[in-house]
Amino acid sequence: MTDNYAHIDELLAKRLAGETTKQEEALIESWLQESADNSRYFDSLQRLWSQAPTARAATLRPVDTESALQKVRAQMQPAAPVARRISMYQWMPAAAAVLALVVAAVFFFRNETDTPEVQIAAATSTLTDTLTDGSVVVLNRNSALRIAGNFNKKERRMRLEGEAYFAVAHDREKPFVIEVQQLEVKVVGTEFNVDNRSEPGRVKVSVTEGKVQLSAGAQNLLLVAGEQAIYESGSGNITRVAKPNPNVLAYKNRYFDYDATPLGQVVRELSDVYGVDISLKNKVLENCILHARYDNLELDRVLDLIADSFSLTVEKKDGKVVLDGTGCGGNDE
Amino acid sequence: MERRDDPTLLQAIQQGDESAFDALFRRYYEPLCHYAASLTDGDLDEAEDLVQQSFVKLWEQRATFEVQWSVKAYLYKMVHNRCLNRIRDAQTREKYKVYNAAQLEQGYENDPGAASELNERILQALDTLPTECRRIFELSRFEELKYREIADQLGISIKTVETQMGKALRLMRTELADYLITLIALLHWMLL
Repeated sequence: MTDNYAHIDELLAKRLAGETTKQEEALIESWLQESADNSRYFDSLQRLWSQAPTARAATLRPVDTESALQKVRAQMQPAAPVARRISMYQWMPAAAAVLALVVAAVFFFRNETDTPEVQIAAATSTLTDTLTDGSVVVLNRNSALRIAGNFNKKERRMRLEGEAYFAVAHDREKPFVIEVQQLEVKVVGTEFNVDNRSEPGRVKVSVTEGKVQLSAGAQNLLLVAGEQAIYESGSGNITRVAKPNPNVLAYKNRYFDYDATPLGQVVRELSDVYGVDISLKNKVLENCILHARYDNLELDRVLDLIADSFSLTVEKKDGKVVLDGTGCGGNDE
Repeated sequence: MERRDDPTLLQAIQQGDESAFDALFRRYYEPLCHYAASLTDGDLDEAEDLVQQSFVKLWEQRATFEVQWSVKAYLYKMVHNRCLNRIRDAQTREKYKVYNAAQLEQGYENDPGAASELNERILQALDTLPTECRRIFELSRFEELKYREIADQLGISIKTVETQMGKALRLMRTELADYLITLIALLHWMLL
């Protein structure tokens, strides 16, 4: 065993740093089982690893983050001019800036009041914005939000086209109401996603925190955290989804969890989130079953991992990606 | 507390959201300062200055910069490069030496034996590591960067990171061997 010590140190370090592959984990496990000395050896490394940050912390002097931030802010150029015009109308905090190419901010007047309705729109990339009540909205691509002129007076009302994630600031006095087609999504303070983009004639609502009240005509449904519901605009029905898709927020956090998912669906979701056309040349591949979890990886990395598990080739051409291979071989993990 | 994750903050910053910038600053300012200080021989004031400049730069380039792995790795790399540029100036290097000596003494005075024996032994063991080996270990353990991010920052291969990490643990353990074994034996005995 002594001959392998140099190598085993690398493996053990990888395990402590959370960098091991499944195969390496298996190798480490069998090495640990080999003798009590081995497992004691790992114990001592683990002890060293876990104690090191504490040892170091005692030597660090604290810094004053807030006053440093003030200094930095003083040296910063303010955001793009568009944002300042918006903030004149007190519609968004000065923080919100808008890149002309990505976003069009349109004002138009309605209701004969002197308060304009505001539209926030995301075209080619997602957009995060903070509303005047402190709620945060993440708009997916090709989506728009029209905010009522009297927003944050009696209530906080808006109309959504496309898909958005909302982290609503808590305010029991002023309900937060989103209109999508004929559906009203009403909340007090919670986090949820509304998708009117993926499938025509359908609105998907997914709640990550708190409770959300859905109503369409006479129908009502209360959704709680972890639940999803679908509204069909044709029938006007609202139905709770039995098995919620864990990847609804992938456009926001690039977190994908695949548990026996056909590769065809995986590729569609990845194309949508990363905004890149990805296709499978051999149609047989559509039904290959993927078990994987990708936590905010770059697309290239995700493609490499998929290519590895099914022995596929990755070809990039004119901004498009084509995956090809003979079959699902090699994915037994 | 800011609840938006790094990619969300990054995206908001790229669109000019100053509140997202503040949140990112609060999240990483202090650890970046300590990292920068480790590169500038412990000069925390200089380190703070470098980190602040890096954040100003990040804001100025918000529309154009490209993040390869994560915004965290990007910040560390930016600070790292700034520190190296600063250190290359031979004259300031002399200044650091003098400053560092004063700082070290001051440090010990401020912290009279507060650290436990194990902590002190760990710090001593860290000091015995070769420079590159120590740097890599610290980036992994203290700054919690991924191997590939460390490799990218230092311009070395992932394989080298793996080798050096194994080496760092092996060397430190050898330094601490007797002490750790006693400690663990004691723990086992107490649990039995």
